[in-house]
Amino acid sequence: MGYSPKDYAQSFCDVILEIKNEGKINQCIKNFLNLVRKNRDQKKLKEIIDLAENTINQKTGRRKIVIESARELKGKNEKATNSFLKKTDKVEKKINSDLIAGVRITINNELLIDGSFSNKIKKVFDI
Amino acid sequence: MSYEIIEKLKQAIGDYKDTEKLEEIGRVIESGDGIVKIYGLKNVKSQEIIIVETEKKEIKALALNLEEDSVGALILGDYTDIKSKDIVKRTNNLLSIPVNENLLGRVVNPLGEALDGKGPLFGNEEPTLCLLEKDAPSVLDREPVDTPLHTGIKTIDSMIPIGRGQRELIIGDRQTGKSAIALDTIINQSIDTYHKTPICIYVAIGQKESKIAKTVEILKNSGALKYTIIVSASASSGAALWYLAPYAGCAIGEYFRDKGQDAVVIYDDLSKHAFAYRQISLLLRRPPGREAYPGDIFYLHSRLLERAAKLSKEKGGGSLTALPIIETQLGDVTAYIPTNVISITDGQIYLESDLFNQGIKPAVNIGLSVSRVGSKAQTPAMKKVAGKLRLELAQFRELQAFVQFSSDVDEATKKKIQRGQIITEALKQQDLSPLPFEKQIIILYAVLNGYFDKTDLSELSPLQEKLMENIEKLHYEKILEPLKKTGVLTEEIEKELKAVLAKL
Repeated sequence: MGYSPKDYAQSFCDVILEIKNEGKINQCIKNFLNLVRKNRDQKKLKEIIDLAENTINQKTGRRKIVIESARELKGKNEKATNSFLKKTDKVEKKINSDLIAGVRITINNELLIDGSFSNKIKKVFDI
Repeated sequence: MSYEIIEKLKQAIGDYKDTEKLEEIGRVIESGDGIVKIYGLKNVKSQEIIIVETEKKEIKALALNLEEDSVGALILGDYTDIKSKDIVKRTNNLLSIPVNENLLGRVVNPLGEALDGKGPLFGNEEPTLCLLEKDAPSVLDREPVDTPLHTGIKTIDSMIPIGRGQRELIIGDRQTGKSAIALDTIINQSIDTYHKTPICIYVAIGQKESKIAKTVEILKNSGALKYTIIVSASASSGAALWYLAPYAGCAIGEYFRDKGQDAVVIYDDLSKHAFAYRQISLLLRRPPGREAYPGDIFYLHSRLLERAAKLSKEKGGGSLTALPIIETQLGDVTAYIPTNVISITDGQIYLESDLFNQGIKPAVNIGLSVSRVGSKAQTPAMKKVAGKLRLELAQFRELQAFVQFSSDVDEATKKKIQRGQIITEALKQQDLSPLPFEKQIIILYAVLNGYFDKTDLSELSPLQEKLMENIEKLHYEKILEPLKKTGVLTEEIEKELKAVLAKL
């Protein structure tokens, strides 16, 4: 019987969140990977990991935040961008010169605040 | 010129209000064959427009499948640039098409983009955005159909009359003259001035671009293009546009209907529309039913055709007439899609290949064709004249087997056979030659009152032309003009007509 990536992710998250001992977590991960290999579902692994990450974030209230900026943020800009971050957030910073200026912040791949200059130009001229 | 451009730019920049807001986004997880599967967008609405941001450009899509963890969307454009992990944004807008009077004479695609190369569609006038999916008028908003829509085809206007606000199906095999009937109807609206000229919308679904170009040329040459809008989803445009084309045409027709005007929309053809919807549904992994069509294939056409209606005076008194076309295979009207659409419409015009091959054009099978509105949608003159036409033809059909043995039957039967042959010959009509209703009345009067009984079948067509020429040149004010204006065959007109026919 085939399991969907969602089934794998859900069951993995349910087990991992109950474990408190770090040694047991590693064992749990090993068991999970062995199960995936046994079922010959290695191709689905990337999707399972993405889904598992999202599920764990939802259940623990953690956020995955991606901050894209045209240049490396320093000083005041960095402070302003970090002002809404929490300690539990997983932050990834990227440089994207296509933004021209400003920042684009993605939260949990579900929400977006686009303060980039390229977006403003698009809105002004309705491109 | 450059000063104006700079001023426009300044105004655009000055009017811009900088408001960053939290937008809901999704990510593409699967893409192929015009369908994308998106993770996220939990609050997206069904039929909402979403934007897929690729590296090169933004592509619109239509959210169709709202599943627990993902959204299935139909790409409205070129899908080859879409990759996995591309961002997808909501627009909070349902699919709509911009419409106003500027569309008349233009060829557009179902998204409202011009295809005829005649420049922008809308100048300074702001168009109205009409939703492609809209509820049909309620029972209370409607009134009975009582105004004729003349097609200019003798067979149809006399025996299968169509009214404004009716849905009349044109059904037949390939190459039987279905599109020809539709085109004649459009062209006739400029000739027939008994009622106000309706706006005509021709929806071409899955047709060759060469055929669409030919149609545009025909309409232009006959002067019909000025009140016609063509919505084209050509064969190469993809299933998404084939699926949306009839709804776009209907939305345009509703704009004029709701303004109190009459409109006619022709869907050529809905069989291809059903194929496109089947393709989309299968790609969206919706469960297939009979003949692999999805379970809601009936609803696809019923919600489209229900929007054709005659509105009450309180709602403006406008009307939207629908002439859907269905292509059958080997004359099988009992197939799935034909039976669905027959049960939705208010009648059908059935075209047969056998009749076409016998030279009877238009190849209408009177026995199987019906108009459920009937004589309520006929002028009083036509009702009076064509009343016994169906009966005479039915009697002729019964006796047709004896035609080859006509020397062996009695005099009365021989007369009936001869009359039937004359009527059949008189009802024949050339392609793209619609006849205004007042001329049809004269010809049918002459045929049914025996004035052509002694005429040879081969001489009937030139005789009809001679009669029309005579009446137009010498008796226009006494016969044609009053008939055209009133639609009533008064005693004076009849007396005058009898005199002309006796001389002829």
